[in-house]
Amino acid sequence: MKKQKADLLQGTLELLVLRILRSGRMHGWDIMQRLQLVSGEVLSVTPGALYPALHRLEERGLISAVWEPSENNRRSKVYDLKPAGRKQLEAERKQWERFSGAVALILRDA
Amino acid sequence: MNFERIGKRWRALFHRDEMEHELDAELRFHLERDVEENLQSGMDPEEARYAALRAFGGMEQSREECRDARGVSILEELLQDLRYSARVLLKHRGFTAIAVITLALGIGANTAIFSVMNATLLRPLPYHNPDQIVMVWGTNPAGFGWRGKTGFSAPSFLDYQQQNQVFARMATFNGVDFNLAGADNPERIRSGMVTSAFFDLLAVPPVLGRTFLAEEFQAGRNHVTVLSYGLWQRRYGSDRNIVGQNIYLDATPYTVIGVLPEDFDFTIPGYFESRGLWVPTVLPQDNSNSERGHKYLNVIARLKPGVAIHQADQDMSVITQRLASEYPGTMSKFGVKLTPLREQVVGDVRSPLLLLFGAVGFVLLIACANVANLQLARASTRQKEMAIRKALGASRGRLFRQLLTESVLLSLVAGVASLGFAFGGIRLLTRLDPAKLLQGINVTVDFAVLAYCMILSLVTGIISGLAPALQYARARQSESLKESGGNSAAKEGGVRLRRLITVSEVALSMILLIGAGLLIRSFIELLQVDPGFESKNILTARVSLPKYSYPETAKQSEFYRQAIERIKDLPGVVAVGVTGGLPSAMGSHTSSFSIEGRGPIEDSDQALAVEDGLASADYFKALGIPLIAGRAFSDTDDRSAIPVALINQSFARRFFPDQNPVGQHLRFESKSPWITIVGVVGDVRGFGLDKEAKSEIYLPYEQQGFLPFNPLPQMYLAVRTSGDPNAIAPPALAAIRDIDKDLPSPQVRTMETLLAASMAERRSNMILLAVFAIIALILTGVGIYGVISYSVTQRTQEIGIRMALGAQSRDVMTLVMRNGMRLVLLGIVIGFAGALVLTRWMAALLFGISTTDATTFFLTALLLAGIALLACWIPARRATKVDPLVALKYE
Repeated sequence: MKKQKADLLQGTLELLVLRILRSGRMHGWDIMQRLQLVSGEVLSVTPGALYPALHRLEERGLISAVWEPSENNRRSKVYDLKPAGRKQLEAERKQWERFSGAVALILRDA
Repeated sequence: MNFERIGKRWRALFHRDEMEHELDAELRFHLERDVEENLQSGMDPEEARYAALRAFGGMEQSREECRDARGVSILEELLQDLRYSARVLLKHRGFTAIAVITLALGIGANTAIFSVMNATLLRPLPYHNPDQIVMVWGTNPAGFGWRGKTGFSAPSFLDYQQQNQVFARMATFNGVDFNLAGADNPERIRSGMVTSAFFDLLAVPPVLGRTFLAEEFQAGRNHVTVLSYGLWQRRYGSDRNIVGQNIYLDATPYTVIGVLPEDFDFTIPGYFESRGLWVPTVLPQDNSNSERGHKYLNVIARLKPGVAIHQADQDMSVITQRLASEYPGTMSKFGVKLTPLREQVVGDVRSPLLLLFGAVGFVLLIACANVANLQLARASTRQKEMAIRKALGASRGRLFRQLLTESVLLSLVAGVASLGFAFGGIRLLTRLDPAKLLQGINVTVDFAVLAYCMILSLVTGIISGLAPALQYARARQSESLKESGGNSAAKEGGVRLRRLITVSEVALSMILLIGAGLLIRSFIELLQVDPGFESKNILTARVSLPKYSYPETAKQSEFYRQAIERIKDLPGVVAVGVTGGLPSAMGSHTSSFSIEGRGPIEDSDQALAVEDGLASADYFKALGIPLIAGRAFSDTDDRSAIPVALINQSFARRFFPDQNPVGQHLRFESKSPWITIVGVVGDVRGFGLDKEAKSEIYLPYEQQGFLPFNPLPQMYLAVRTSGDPNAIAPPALAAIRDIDKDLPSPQVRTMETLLAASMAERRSNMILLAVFAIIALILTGVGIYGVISYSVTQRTQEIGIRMALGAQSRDVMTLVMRNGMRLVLLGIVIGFAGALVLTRWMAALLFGISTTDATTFFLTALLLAGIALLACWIPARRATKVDPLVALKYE
């Protein structure tokens, strides 16, 4: 039961990450900032959940990562969307729209 | 894409530190950015740091998830499991030590037996295409010869060689002994005589010089020899200039033409030993009937490529039929039997080895059962550990894997330790081989043996760990988390499993014990057989008279007359005799003969099983063979006296069933005078105690001329002594040297040694199987003890209640004992059933008893039950000491 909920959240989180990366390459902290900006308090995503999601996406070959110099003489890991990720995002976006459309329909009728 | 992934996994697996480092760097970067943000919004550094950590949410868990995302979990888990298992095993040293020793014993015994199998049954012979080489035997319906098989006569060998379509090459080999002259140590050298194709057939290239040329098999050119590597090294100090030099064999010069490779070892166990040097055989160009009847050439052949052995068999029988119609007198009953050389070399060790292999398999299974039982017993102490790990999120599969890893690690350690047992076992096996079955076979621990040992360890780990691992993993966490809660379902299952294991253990060792018991009983039966002579206090000496110094029979018998004279007068000597063949070391000689007043007993089936030989007057006295009727030989039965003979009881029974044989006449050759039978002596089991006595005719050694062949050049002296026979050896040998100082020293052995050697194979099989059975018995006893004492511990409370309610200690004793012995009896019954099925394969190894010998079954069952009773009694006694008050408080 608990696990299912996590899965749902996970899938959603990964979708959001792909969407954010479509607008450009960025490192984890920036992605976190964007996430908070777009989802606000609705989806309370912590960095503790974000990074495993990023690693999973990288492992699946949907996004790529490189270490780059950052401000203050530090190095940061910068993520970018790969073509496969772009395709995946498109597919999932469509599916999500269908799903949410169907849910919206049911809820309106109820 | 794929390569990228593989690369990542590779990195993940082998550059763990680097990956960890990157992960740290990434997360730290994030935290630092957060802290910076917080600082900018006006927090103090301490607060900024805490806020960032709080916002991050579950740093360690996140890290773990990131690692999981990389997808190397199974390998990583394996490493984790191994580390954890090692810690657990190191922590419970007592358990680990017992389990490792138990398994190492089982695996080691298996590895040792396997290494012998590897060296014999599995290893190819050291010749080119060895599977093409066959031994070609002659057969006869009477079954005389070595194991009922003979060689070929020279003319028929040549016939088979010319007429066959199936062999690429055929060659003969025979043993011959030479006196090798040296500066001051003449030496008797066991040598081989071979025909031209022998070394080509085996495809053995010499290390030095060459082997024989075709023309060297003609008389006059045949004085050439090829040395074995061993003789070349020992006698000639590996001198490379030896080729071309002359050496003196029986005072005749032979030119050394080559040296054979070190690993060349042509041995047929029990029949033909490897030889020190080799010379050409010159086949007689003689097609007479007597030559054709003289079947002495041992033959090997190499099949043409693509020819199967049954095709060769057919081809042989076609030739055999042709020869039988051509030479009905000598060839009508002759047959040919082809035996693959490999079968010939390792055939004898196969059935005892397979028996021992089965036995050690049982020992290992029992060892596995014991270790599984030990692990199950630990279940109670480890249940909480498992429950906690489960509560922390370990899946059942993960727990199962971890427990199996532990068990496999345990058995791998045992596998390494077992190599010590295996090395010891191999030494023991090769030393326990007085039957010389492993002669010329190099038993080593090679890659195959190591691989076998490791695979066996792995399998052992899985077998012994499977049941306990399943048991643990199935245990329900809610129940186990509670302190030692009474009878949980899991524990109930565990108890049932342990009982099952105990029953199988008892059954397995019952089978092993019966097997060993049958061999022991056979051996006892064998020892009780009356050999027909008294083997105590007899010294024997094998004398070989070289042809060049003893050319005539008169000179040969003169030597024995002198030897008897001199040795007879030595102090401590009771009687001295000479014989052509001692019991247990008899060469077989068979001739056709006729009895006066009856038709000649031709080369028929019946007559062939009669042995004939020479003996001196005191031979029967020296061996303690009783005279049944008539008189024995006397010193006056010499060349000039009328010919006389003694027969044994078997002969008398067979040929004179209702006549007095004394006074009857027989002869071997139609023109020779009749030989009078003057007496009957007792039967002697001349070919080993497990063989029936044969019909025998003895002639006085000085009347050798009436025998169709001459055994005199090689005879045995038998000396009966009043004290230790070995003490007589030095003066007896000195006496022989006094007669002929150039005679190579005779081989001296006591009769008891010869007799023991004839039983050596049975003895070593018996000892080995008994050792394995005892190991099994001990392991089983320990196993039963473990199960019963565990159940006593489990039932302490129950026993306490019973005692509080008035049960006497005897009742408690009965309760526990009945509990244990029920398992034991069930095991014994199952073991009986198993033994009835399995011991059938042992029939050939038994003597005097059947495979279902009731005494053996009963006695071994009694032994096992006794050990089991003891194993139950110790914990049962402890149960009676339970203090009801303490037991009730215990919970």
